[in-house]
Amino acid sequence: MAAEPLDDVALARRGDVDAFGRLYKESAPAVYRVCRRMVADETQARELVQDTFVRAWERLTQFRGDSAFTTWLHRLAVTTTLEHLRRTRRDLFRHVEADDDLAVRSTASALDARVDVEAALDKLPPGARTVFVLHDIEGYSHDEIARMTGIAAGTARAQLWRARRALSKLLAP
Amino acid sequence: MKPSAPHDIHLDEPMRQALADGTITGPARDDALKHLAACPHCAADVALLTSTIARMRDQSTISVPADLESLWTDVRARVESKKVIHLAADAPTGRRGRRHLSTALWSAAALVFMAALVAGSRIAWRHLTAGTLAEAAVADSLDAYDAEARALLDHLEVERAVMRRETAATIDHDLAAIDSAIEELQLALSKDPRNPALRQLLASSYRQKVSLLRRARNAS
Repeated sequence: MAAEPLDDVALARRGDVDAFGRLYKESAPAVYRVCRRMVADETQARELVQDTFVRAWERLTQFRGDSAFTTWLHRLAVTTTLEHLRRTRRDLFRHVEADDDLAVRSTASALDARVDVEAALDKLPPGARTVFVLHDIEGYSHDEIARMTGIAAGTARAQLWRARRALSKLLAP
Repeated sequence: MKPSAPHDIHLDEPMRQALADGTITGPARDDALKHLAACPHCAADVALLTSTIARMRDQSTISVPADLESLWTDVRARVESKKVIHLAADAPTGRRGRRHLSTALWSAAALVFMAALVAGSRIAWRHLTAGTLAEAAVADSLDAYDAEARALLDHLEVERAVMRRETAATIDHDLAAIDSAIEELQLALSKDPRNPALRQLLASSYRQKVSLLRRARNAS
């Protein structure tokens, strides 16, 4: 991400919407990438970007500068997306112990060599996708993922391994 | 699993995954690496997992829509509807005395705010019997706040001479932000004078202005 726009953060905390707009312009692409990795639908990802920034505005007074603003915003995007997934997919992790769901999805459509990362992620079932993104991309530990998602750490680990295996197959030339 | 065993016995899944994401360390890792050196099957599999993780981590692999900036219009509309002025949330607090002052200010502000709420509710209570009179009550409240704000501003101008430059600048900045919000709300109300949400927001902004000025007065 780009350099920290500290002044705009301070101004936004005091109610300056234009400053917040500059923060949006600066950070929206990174927030979009976080959301898009976690949800398969581009329209949903765009809505989640909006939700993340509205929530950021509401919670700006809670941002104390202990971490970079972009890091704080990043985590907010993850939390917002997770809440959305929980709300819209109550069965998000229900089949987490079963291999068949992942196996069916990863082999049902034979992706050719042109398959890209986005398409490969979209082929994962939501639960596996969420754990993979949280661990391998966002850097959360299994214990943190367990707390965030409500599944056991061991389950998260198993889900991660399956996701990696599926992605390896999908991305193989 | 014995990582250093001959390569007809392969590394198990947890070991391969741990090698791929780098979460294995120490002697166990050394043993596993020795096995990889002798076992092309495991080495290829770990390399595949490693490259998958690296590829997925590459931020550039997710394309960003060209019109992402246009979403700001919607975000702004939602933000404006929730607009709250945050008073001096990050004013400098480097000195101990200033920290104490800040605590006292916030405590005083909380008390004043509660008093204002009580006073406001009393004013409003007199007019609750008729819906149309509620608007008049809000207008009365706004007039009262405005009058008090003017008196407090006069006092602030007198005190400014002995006020620390840093404190004065913070107050001025916050006042400008609140005044800007008040202006915007007054403009919006002129177009939609019966909008109760706008009236409440305007009253809230006035309350914050008076609260800020009272804190400034108490601090001086």
